[in-house]
Amino acid sequence: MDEGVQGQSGVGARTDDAADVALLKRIGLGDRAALSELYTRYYHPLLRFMYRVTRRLDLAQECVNDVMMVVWRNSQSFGGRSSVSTWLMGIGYRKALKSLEAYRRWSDRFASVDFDAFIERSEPPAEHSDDADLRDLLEEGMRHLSPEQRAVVELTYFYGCSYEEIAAIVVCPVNTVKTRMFHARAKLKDLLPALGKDAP
Amino acid sequence: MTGRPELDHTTVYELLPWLANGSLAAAERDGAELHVRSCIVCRRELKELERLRLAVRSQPTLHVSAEGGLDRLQRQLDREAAKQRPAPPRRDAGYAPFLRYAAVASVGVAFLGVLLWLAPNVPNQAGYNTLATHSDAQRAQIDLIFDQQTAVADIQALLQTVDGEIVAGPSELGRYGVRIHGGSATDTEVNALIDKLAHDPRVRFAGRAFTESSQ
Repeated sequence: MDEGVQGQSGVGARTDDAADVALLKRIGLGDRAALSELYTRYYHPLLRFMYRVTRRLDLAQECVNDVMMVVWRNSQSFGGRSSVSTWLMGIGYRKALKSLEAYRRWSDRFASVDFDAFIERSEPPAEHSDDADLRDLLEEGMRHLSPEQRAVVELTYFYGCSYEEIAAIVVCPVNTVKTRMFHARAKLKDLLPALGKDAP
Repeated sequence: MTGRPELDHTTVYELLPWLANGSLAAAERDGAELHVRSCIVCRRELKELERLRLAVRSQPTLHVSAEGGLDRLQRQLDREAAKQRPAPPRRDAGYAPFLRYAAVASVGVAFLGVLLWLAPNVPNQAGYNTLATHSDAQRAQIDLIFDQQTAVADIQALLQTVDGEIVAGPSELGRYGVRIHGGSATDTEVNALIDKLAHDPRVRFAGRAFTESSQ
């Protein structure tokens, strides 16, 4: 994984935005090498984000390519109102939700598998004390959040986004971002008692 | 005097996740920090959120190579480009165009017949793609189909234990091509791993990667 791209503060701060804009210009001229460069640069950040939203690796992988097809066809629609990375994450978010919805419809109609049970299968969180166990519990706890709540949690805590950036990515008012986070915190707090173990 | 007004409790409580990730603008950050210093509820919550942030950041990474996805994207672009090429002008009047195409087709069929006669064992060069025909699959050493109930975190954990990396797939059947030790695993090592993986409850199928050369 490209640690140089992931996990730093702010989506916009993670990459050289001027370089990304230059890549988009080349892509607009039909330069496939530029598309490959952008793809390689953003593959893992997009994949992780879309996996965290959909909880399905196959859907997340498809979504990355869907995002890049949008970029290939409509790179000129990048208006410069946000960073390229914020723009890409926004496209990815919408693709992920659509893909998840389509999968849910297909699953409801054709499969005998209970989608929610499949996606959110879980065991009651147990009391654990070390960080590795906390990660496992977190993985389980995230299943209980809605895709929209997971997106806000992931963008805040992994990608270091400000609430304004998140609002731009998920295309909603900042108050909605804060509300989603508030509910996500409440759910995680119930599910992850280990979070509070060091609290005074 | 800093001149920064202290924010009220409700506002700060909402902002704590972004105080924890360091993304608040200076004015909000200063106002929130001022409140947190005097509010035990927010201090405790901030500490919990910092632990949550660390836990999220230390979640396992996805060991999936970008190469397979990029390869699929390139093929999709090729197909689109082929569709967009201008079609030859259509001329509906008379039989001349039909005769011309018929003549070309006859020559083509005859040429194909000669080819088949000369090379009866031509390997599969059909126009369809399977997992095995992908360039990444050529480098895959093991084909794996995971149990449908296996979570991705479990898949990642499993791949980590065998130093494996997904380089192709999933196919429509959910088959992944996996490379071991960056492709440097010996046949003996690969066989041993297949045996081990085949008995793993998270795996529905494990076998030698199916490549053109293995046919």
